[in-house]
Amino acid sequence: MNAARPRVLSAPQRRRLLTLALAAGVAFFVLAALAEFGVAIEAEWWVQHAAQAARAGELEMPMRIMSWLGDGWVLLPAAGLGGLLVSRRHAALARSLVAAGIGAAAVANLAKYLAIRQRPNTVMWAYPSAHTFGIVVFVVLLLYVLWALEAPPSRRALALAAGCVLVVAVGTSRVYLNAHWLGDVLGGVAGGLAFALAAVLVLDRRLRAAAAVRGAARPLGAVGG
Amino acid sequence: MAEACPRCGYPAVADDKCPQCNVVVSLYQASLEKLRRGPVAAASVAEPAPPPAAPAVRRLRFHGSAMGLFGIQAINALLTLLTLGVFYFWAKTRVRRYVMGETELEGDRFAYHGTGRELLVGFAKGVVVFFIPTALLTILPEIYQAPPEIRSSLRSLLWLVGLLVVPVAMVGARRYRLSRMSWRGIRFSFRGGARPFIGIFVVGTILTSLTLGLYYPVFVTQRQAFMVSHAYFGSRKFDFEGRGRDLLKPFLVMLLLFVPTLGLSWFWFAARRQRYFTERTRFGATRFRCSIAGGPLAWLQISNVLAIVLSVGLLWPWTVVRSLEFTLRHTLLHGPLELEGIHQDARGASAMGEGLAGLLDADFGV
Repeated sequence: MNAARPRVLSAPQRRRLLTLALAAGVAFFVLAALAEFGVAIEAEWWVQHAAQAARAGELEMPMRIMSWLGDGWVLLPAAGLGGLLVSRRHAALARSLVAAGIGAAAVANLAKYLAIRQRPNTVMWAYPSAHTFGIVVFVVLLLYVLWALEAPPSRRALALAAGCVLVVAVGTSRVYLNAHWLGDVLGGVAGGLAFALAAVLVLDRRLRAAAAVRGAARPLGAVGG
Repeated sequence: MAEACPRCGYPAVADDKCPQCNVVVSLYQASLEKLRRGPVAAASVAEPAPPPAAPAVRRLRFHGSAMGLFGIQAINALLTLLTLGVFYFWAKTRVRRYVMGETELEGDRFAYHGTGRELLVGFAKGVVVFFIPTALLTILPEIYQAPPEIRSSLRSLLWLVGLLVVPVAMVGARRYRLSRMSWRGIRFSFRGGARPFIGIFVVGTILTSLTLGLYYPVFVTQRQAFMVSHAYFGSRKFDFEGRGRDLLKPFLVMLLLFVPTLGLSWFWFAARRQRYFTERTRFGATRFRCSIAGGPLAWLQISNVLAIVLSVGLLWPWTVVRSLEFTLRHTLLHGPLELEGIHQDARGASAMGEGLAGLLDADFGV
């Protein structure tokens, strides 16, 4: 089964990811505080007003589809499917990815207790946008898997570009559909990034530990990003 | 370009009124804007409110859950501990924001705009104006060994001050809380003065004592009448038409049955009082109906107390949520809402009354 050994991160790569994860985590909590105390509400209202003014019939369906792509009911089955595909190459990695997906769904919903805030459509639980949080985690983990399983650079570049477009599209659709303020979407990006990078670091640690046990891990730093 | 409905998302609203959900777009957008404004928003929104093809009977709904409130309380407890208690005021605000934000009428949620900072400032003012002088008047005579006559005079003075401060705190808390509530962006307000309420409160307290409690139904009805008939939603006021003597008979029956029923008759009176107060309240052409019965109310309140005691407070969120659901489930709004002509008429209010209420450790249910 576990014929292919996934790549592991080098020490400098781990340091960079850790720094980025911490920065994203701090940004997430700062944005949560801004949302809780309504600090940037004027700017957010301005964005919301512009987004609602731009609503047009032909954009409704595409935006709903984009928003739907960030839904847990889409992302969790997609993560399960991805896990199935990865399990052919590395079963433990696949299991960890699915666990990370479930963990992301739980954390995104628990994070909503940080800021008690109404959405623009007055429904509760605005911060952070769980759709954006979920899609960021999904994209980052997908990129990590492609890198770890040594997918060709062209495919990784394509996945990176598609992932960025997807994140922006889901975030934009949430503001467009009047479901979130801009700060909620930015919080979703920051929180999702922090969670996904932390998950990547944990996964990498587990892979290195497993490789060390087998005594067959590649030397650290032998691979590029 | 035709605008999309900001409420239901209908893509092209031609004449400012959404054909799908009947909302008036300009008013709704203005409402959303006001929803997020601070307490200074006093400008009027002169546009008429949406005249939906509304049902004759409406119901308030609570969408919150015990789990949601528990999560908020868990974060609140953690932050209150970490800040050595300072976060308490923000915690209170977060709970109110949640409860309001999960309460819905006609598809729109209520909103709470109060801030923790306001409560903190109100509390600090309450400490300076009430707590410190009271503490000094209590402690100084003991320290300086004042003569007994002076001590007893000071005790009487403090009792009198307490009798005056309670109604002031009740009115202040009511004014503050209503001024921070809104629905569809229109603020509630309370415009009753403290002085007339002090009269009602002092006279009511004295007469209730002198009549061994028999004046109580009249007293609580007068209090309710004052609190309701000075409340406004935007520019329209609420009305209350109750008379205290209507509750006298149920009160006497309750007193007679109090001992034989081991106090349970109180719940039947409380349910009767609640029904009476609700049904005597009017908002324009809208009447309120209440169907709370004594048995379910007794079960609710007794089981709530048991749940809190047996769980060492952990089930407090559950008791809050079920109490709210219980009250809203038994409350109906009859008749047209007639929102046309209601316009924003927000009033500023300091949180000092709220601070005094906090110092007296009393919620007052207002």
